[in-house]
This record gives sequence, C-alpha cells and structure tokens, in this order.
Amino acid sequence: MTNLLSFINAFIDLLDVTVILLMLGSVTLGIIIGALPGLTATMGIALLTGLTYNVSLNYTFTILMGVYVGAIYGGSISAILLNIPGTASAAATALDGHPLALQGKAVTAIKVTRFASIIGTFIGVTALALLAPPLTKVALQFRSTEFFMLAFFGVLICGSIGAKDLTIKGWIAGMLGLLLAFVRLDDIEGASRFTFGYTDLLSGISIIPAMIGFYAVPEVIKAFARTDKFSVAAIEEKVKEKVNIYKIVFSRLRVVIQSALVGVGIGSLPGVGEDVAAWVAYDTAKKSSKNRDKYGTGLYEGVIAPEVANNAAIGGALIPMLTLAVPGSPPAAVLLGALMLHGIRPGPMINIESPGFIGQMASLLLLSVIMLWIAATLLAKPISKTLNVPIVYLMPIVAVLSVIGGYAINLSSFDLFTVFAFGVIGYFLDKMHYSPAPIVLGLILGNMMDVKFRTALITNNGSFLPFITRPISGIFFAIIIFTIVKQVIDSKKAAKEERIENIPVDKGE
Amino acid sequence: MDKTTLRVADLVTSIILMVLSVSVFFMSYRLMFTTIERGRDWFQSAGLFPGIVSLLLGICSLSLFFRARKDGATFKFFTREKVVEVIESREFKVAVTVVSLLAVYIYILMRPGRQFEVATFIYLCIFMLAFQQKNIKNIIYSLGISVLATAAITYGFSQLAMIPLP
Repeated sequence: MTNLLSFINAFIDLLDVTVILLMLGSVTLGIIIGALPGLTATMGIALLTGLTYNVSLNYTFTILMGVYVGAIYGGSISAILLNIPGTASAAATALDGHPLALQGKAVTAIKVTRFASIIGTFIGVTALALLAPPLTKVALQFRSTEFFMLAFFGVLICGSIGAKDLTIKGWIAGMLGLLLAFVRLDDIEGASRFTFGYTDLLSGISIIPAMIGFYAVPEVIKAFARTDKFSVAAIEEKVKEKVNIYKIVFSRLRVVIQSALVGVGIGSLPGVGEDVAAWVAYDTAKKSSKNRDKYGTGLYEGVIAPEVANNAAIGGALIPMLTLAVPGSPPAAVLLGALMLHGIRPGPMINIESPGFIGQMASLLLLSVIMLWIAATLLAKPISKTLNVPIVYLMPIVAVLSVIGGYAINLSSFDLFTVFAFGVIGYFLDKMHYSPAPIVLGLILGNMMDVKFRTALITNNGSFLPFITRPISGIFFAIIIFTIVKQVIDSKKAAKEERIENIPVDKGE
Repeated sequence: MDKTTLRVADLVTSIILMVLSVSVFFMSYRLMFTTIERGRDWFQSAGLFPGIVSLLLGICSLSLFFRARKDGATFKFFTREKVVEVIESREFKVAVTVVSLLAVYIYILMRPGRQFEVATFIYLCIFMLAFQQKNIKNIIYSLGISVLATAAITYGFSQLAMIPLP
C-alpha cells in the first residue's frame, strides 16, 4: 500500500506540461527509431544519453524512458511490414506479424501490437511499483551460479524456439553466438582470446553492428530475390474488414496475462531482458494453444504474446537495474550508465541515497504508456505506408541506414566491416534455416556467462557442485536438463514419423 | 531450398562446424595450458568455457551430421550440373550483386578521405538502377530519390543526432 501511495504521489508530481510534451516527443522518436531497421532501442538510448548530458535529471529520464518504451514497440512495426525486426525483441513478433501483413492485415496487426504493447508496459509499471520488493528479495539470492544457469537457459530456450528447421540447429546457432562472444580480451585473466592479433577485436565483436548485419542484410537480398511481385500494400487494398482490436486482444486474455507474467518475470531476472521474454512468451503461447500448428502462419496470438511480454519486460528489467545495479536488458544497461552519469548510484542503497527515485521511474513508465497510445495511434497509418514505397527504392535506403546504424554506436570503421561480414554470414545461415536470434543472444550473454561461470568456480575452489546444489541454480539445472531431454525425444519422434511418411507404399503390383 | 538440398547443406555445414569446434578446442586447450604454466588454477583460465562450448558444438555438429546422413544426404549431390544450376539461379545473382554493392560501398566508397554524401548518393543510385529497367523515368526517379535520401540521412545523422558520419 505504501508503495502504491508513493507511486501515485510521484505520478502527480510528474504532471508538468514540459514533461508531458517531452515524453510525447520521445515516445514518437522511439517508435521511429525502433521501426527503422538498424536503429535499436539500445542505440537510441545510448545516443540520447550523450545528447542529454547537460539536461536536468528529471527531463533526461523522461526522454530516455520515452525512447525505450517507444523503440521496443516500434521494432514490431518493421517486423510486421518488412519482416526485419527493428529491435531483437521484435524478432518473435515477425513470425506471425509478417504473415498477417502478407494476408493484407498489416494495419490491424500494428494496432493489435500497439494495444498489446500498452497493456504489457502497464503491467510492467505495476510490477515495478508494487512487486519490486518481493522480486528483489528473490533476485538478491542470485550468485554467479544462478546468473550463469539463467543465461544458459536463455540461450538454450531461444535456440529451441528460434530453430526454423531442426532444434539442434537452433542450439548450434546459440553456441556459435557464444563462441563469437569469446572473441575479446578476457575479463578475468586479461588474456587476448581468439583475436588473432587484431586490436579492434580486443573489446569484442560489437553486438549492434553484428545484429544489424544478421537481420538487415539477408532481408535486403531476399527482398530483391523474390520472383513473385507480391506486394503487401496491394493486398491490403483488397481486405477492407472492420475489426475491433480491443475484442481481438481481450478475447485472448489468457495469452495476455500469461505473456505479461512471463515478461515481468524474465525481465526482472538480471541479464536476460526483452528478447528472451518475447521468445519465451511466444513459445508458451504456442505450446498452450489449441492452434499450435497454425503459429507462424499469421495468428494474432503470435503477435500479442511477444509484444505484451517484451513491453512488460521493460518494467521488469528496471527492477534489478535499480535495486541490484545489474541491468535486466541491453537498453537497461545503457540506462544504468546514464544513471551513473547523472550521479544516481543504483543498488540496494538507492532508496536511502535517492528516496523516491524508483517511484519516479515507475511514474515515467506509466506516463510513457499514455503517450505511446497517442503517438502510436498517430503514427500507425503513416508508418504502414512504408510498404507503398517500391522495394527497389526502399531496400537500398534500408541498407544505407543499416551501415550507418552499425557505425553510429561506436563511431568505428571496424563496425562497418562487422555489418558486412555478419550480413554475408547471416544470409548463408538464413538459407540453411539457422535463426539469427540464438546467435545474437549468445553474442550478448556469452561474456557474462563466461565471467559468471569462472567466478562461481573460483569462489567454490573449482567445484561444479554449487551449480546443482544451490536451490535456484538447481531449479534452472533441472529445467535445462528437462528441456534438452524433451527436445531430443520430440526430435527423434518427429524424424521417425517423417521417415514412415516417406516410405513408398507397396501397391501390390 | 528444398529438403534434400537443405540436408546436403547440413552435411557440409556439420563438417565445417566440427573442424571449427576442434580448432577452438585446441586454442582453448593452449589458453588453459598457459594459465596452468603461470601457476594459476585451471578454472581461472580464459580457455575453460570456450573449451566446453566447443565440445558441445562438436557434439551437436556430429548429431547434425548423422541426422543429415539418415535423411539421405550424400556428397554425390555436388555434380557439375547442380553447381551450374545454383550459379545461374536468380537468387544467387541477386545475392552476389547486393553483397558486391555493399562491399564497394563499405570498402571503396567510404574509405577515409572520401565524402560520405557522394559515396552514399553513388551507392543508392547504382543499387536502385541495378534492379530495374534502365529507362528515362526510372533513371530520373532513382536520381531524385538518391539525392533526397542522401540529404535526409546526412542531415538527420550529422545535424539532428550529431553523429560524425563515416
């Protein structure tokens, strides 16, 4: 109750014309950043952190939170319209969102994801304001073993869910991502690892340029390689159905609640964030659905689940960031840097050193929900018009934006080569039905996993037992083993059935 | 890509991945050896976790190899006719064109000392014209859109976002 009252007070204090206008502008900017392939929430927040250095604390976080929420939603727009997720957290949305667009339901899909995102963010706010203390208690139990197991589970589940063909290929993709993350100067020993003498590689492969390469370049090639002159916009003209988006979303209330819980839960676990939340919510919705075979063909559940979850994860991701100084996601990691830049020291002492700051952040998140509603409503139609631009003009511009987007975060020429190299690799992997999501997740979490793994061993004098004997870690271990065994059994069953189907029928001739 | 071709690709990929996993394993082993030589514990080594991941990758690659073989993939697939068929396919030509244009943009047009605006305009214009009929209307459209897009990108990044362009 005390939490709720302080949250309401903080929200009332916030209602200032400048803050409202700034939030509206920031959410709008965030949507545009998220929708443009190559520009991500992390990059937008990073750019604006530098630009708002001289702005007051209150206004700075109004801008940063607005961009964060707007960009996480905006990523779904390009995922639906172009099949290029603007942000990694929208990759799961593309699975059903793009097929919906191909069926001529692009605008409806965008409206549904908008409403789902608003619900998700709202539930994330509620969690941040009300559930932070109990969740923080659980998060406080986390040691290196738990961090490692959690990240390993994230890569594994993403590999299982993201696999386009065989599950084993999803896991291989995750491991390739992990190996790529090891290319850097080691954090514990200070040893140069797999860098082959290239100084540019000492700080590791930049995640954003690699991600842009993996996602954008294959899409540019595929767009030109399409032999059929299929145009989403053209089909959209033929489908003129009156739809009630509220009915679409509320008739799937179970998926909404389930995904929101997944989003808040996974978001609040340090180091994982929106991407895994979206994938796990998609997988959970698929597995618990009667229409599981239809997932990937254009189901509204398939866009609602990841969008509710990735936006709910924002509130969740702020919990460990504010209370443990451990970011729940890559954008939250940049926000953490911004907090420190402005003299706020996140961690268990935040309520003593900066009283009311958690409530203020939750209020900003709530205000961003309202502004997201307004901004997204105004931008839905103009952004969906992107498809009216012929691919021959749009895709070269996407390619240029991807190259500059890859360059902008570190201002490094080496990152241009990263975009190119990962683009080419991404295209070949895509042709062989390897999903980029587990590779990217492995790349993001790899270094953290390595450090936590060895830290746990150093703390326990080389013993692996704490990975199994510590309660939370043990639960993750059991889930990991269960996931692997289940996937292996399912794959064997599927392969056997496939071979039986392919046996030629003896017609007794 | 049809399933037969996909499994042949899986067969080849699994071998490449096995080679990769063995290489990473040996590099990790050398890192571990260096750590122990320096008198530190084995579990502090920078090669420990990469070594474990490379082993897991090797196991997964082996599993993929056997799955591809079970599904009937063989190396006999690589005939001269098949290679010619792939090279002459539309997608292969598109991929080569897009990748080549991107390589020219990054490695040649954007070399230090070259103007970003000029490089982007040339790249956009050539890219747009490469995939459509070369008539007056398309040329004018491509030129116009290239100029506008270059101006918007340059202004947006360098003036609004204040990002120094490459």
